[in-house]
Amino acid sequence: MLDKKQLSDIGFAYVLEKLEPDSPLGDELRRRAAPYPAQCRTALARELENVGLLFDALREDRERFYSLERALMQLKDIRRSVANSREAALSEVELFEVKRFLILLEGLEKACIELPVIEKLNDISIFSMNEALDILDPDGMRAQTFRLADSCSEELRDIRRERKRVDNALRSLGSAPSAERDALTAERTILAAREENEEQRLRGAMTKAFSAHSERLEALIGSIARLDFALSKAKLMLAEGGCIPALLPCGEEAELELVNMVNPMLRAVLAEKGMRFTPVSIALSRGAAVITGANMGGKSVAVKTLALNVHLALAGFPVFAEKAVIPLIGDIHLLYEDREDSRGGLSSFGGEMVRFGTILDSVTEGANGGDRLVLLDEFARGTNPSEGSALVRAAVRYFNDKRNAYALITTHFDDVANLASRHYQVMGLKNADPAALEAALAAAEGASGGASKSELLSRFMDYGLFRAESTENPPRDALKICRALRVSEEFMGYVDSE
Amino acid sequence: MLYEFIKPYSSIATIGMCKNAGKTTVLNSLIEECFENGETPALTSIGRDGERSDVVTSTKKPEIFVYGGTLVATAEALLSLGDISREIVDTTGMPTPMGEVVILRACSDGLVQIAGPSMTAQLKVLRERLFELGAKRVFLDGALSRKSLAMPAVSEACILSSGASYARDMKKTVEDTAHSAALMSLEKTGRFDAAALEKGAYAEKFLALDAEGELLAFAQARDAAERIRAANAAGIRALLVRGGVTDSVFEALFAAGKQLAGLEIVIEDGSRLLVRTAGYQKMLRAGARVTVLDETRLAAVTVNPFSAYGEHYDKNAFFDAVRSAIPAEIPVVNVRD
Repeated sequence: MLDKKQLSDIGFAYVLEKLEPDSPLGDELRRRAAPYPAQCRTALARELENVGLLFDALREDRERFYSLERALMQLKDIRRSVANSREAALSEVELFEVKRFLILLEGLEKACIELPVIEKLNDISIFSMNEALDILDPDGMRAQTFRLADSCSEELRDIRRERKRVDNALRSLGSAPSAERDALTAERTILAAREENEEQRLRGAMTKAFSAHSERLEALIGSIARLDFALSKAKLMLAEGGCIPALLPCGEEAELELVNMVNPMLRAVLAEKGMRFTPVSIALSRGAAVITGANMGGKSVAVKTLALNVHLALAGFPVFAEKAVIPLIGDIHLLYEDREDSRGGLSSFGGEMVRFGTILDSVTEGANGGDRLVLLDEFARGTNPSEGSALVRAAVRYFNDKRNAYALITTHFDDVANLASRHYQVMGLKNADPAALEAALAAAEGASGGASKSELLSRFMDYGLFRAESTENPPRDALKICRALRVSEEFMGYVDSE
Repeated sequence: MLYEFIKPYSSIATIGMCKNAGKTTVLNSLIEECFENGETPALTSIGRDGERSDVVTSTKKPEIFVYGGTLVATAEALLSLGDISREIVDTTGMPTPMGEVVILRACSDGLVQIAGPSMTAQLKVLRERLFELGAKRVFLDGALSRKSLAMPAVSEACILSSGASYARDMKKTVEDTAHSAALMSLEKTGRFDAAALEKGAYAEKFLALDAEGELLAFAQARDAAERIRAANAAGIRALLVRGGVTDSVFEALFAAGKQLAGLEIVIEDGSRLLVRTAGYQKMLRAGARVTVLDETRLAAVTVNPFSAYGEHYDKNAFFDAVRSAIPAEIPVVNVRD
């Protein structure tokens, strides 16, 4: 399970922020968005199909959805009042809200009828509830206000007629104090109390009659919420790009594949600096794959982008990729250096191993909960290279033997890739022209600080991933990067003499 | 007695110097006079921060009398305290400690208790909603605190109510009433444009305007004062002070000495001036004048010689003292007349 901080780090919280359901009903689902459990694969598939259908319809004719969106925007969350109706008489304000909701349903139903796609959606059925509305609006005036009509009872009509008489008498008396005025005022107070009592009785009866429809209304509200939420996801896909992931059934040969995926949060950060996000493609089979490559080359970005997109797919969202094939994954585990550990009294290595232990427990026990996606970013980086390398090699072999995990491990250590089922490398500075890089850095010298040096470097960095031979060891870019960042000449002299 | 003074304005706030100053009497007579002139104005109030629902519901009786047809915006928990027959017209989503603010229409004459939102921005939205629903005029029952002076944003005009309940010493009541009235009738500046300032990216509290029309920004009052003192030959014509203006701000500005003469000190609105009467008078004597970005109109001052605590003033003496302490163009009315 990804925790709250991880969900924020990988950019899932960012995606949720980007989502704009039109009603508070859809927004509630947005706030609760989480992966479907592996046992709910069918529900997940049906949700993704809904988003895809809505996306196609939106792309075909965006404007056709405006009336639906307007209808959704007017809805308030009345679920508490609907539930209350089974317990006690609703207040006049609650009855007002429920009545208005029922009136707005007519507009919503009409907007849905104009959109043929709505009928094709799974588990969504939108209808108006005129019988329930007739209870709250017996005269059929359909005014979006609430007041018990005189026609509700003879008693009510009589009281109100009396009030009118007293009001008129008081008005004609003027404001000067008099015994007659006092008597009429007292009468008004008594009539007001009688009216209040009668209205309360009538609200009780009205609530009781309405409550017979409450469960049907709750089911309808659920439908509306799902429609609004799915529509907001389809709108996000229209705005940010992406595709509906294909879900694979359980099977040995199942391969996880993401083609040209992006991370919208990191893309936005880069765009602000005038840079673009390099899409990455990754395919994983069961067992362990390894990413190696230069420092600053985007290995962590690739891991986070993969985590985000798989998490999105499992939560019923479109993914930010050209193509996505997702096997039956029940849980995602992500392990990367976390500065929080040292505050908890553990060294970063200690903290990493504690969390690694819980991941292993989950992988061992998780039989029917689907496969695990295990992402280890620079695993065991915090210890000595010989033992660190041994730990990484062990992890690769371990996940190769466990047949229920898709593991992806990034590392700088040598002799790891040859054990892995697949080996990816980041391009890094491999194709950068050293002379051009040198010239650009020399030109920026003087005026620039450290931050812009690293920015300049990133312009020469190729963040693309490519499949490498498993025998190939990680490239030796560390010293190149130190020089590019203009780490002290004197110090580099010492390095060269090593 | 008050109708003619508020007639030109579509939104009017009532403000009290203290409890029992006669604010409710003023509101009730305004409603009645409007009714006699064939109007049913809409009503709401500035929410009372910190007043909890149990405090209000257990101690307060509804005291505002409205006529059938009146639109009222009030907190949900206060609905049942009134005795009007009513129709729920809208809900606003604005929370108060006494529930959401709802808009209702009176379907009979009767008493209501009003508590609206306490945030100025929400009050503005609510006022506009009342106009949308057909109100021609909106009355805002203001609070007693200084906060209620922040009226320019929400009402075109104000009525200030003062009375013997404010202080035993009539002289103090008159002085403080005159000071409040002065703050509420400050002239609008012609030098700064509020809309343009909003767009400008100045974060500083002090903005000076020189003879060439250049803006100079200062974070500290003493830096602004230093500049005014040193350079008033170059001509700092006006100084905009944003946010609250306290005694310490004025103290720092006094360092500019003689150069204060002719300086226009601009504040956002009358409620921002938190200096004591003495400091304010001293600044005026130094030759500076104070203006506002957002102008409010003081439509009238009402006086009430009766004290809830038994120390009544002489009716005529109080009226005359207030009358002579505030500018002649502002009407003064005795609420008991």
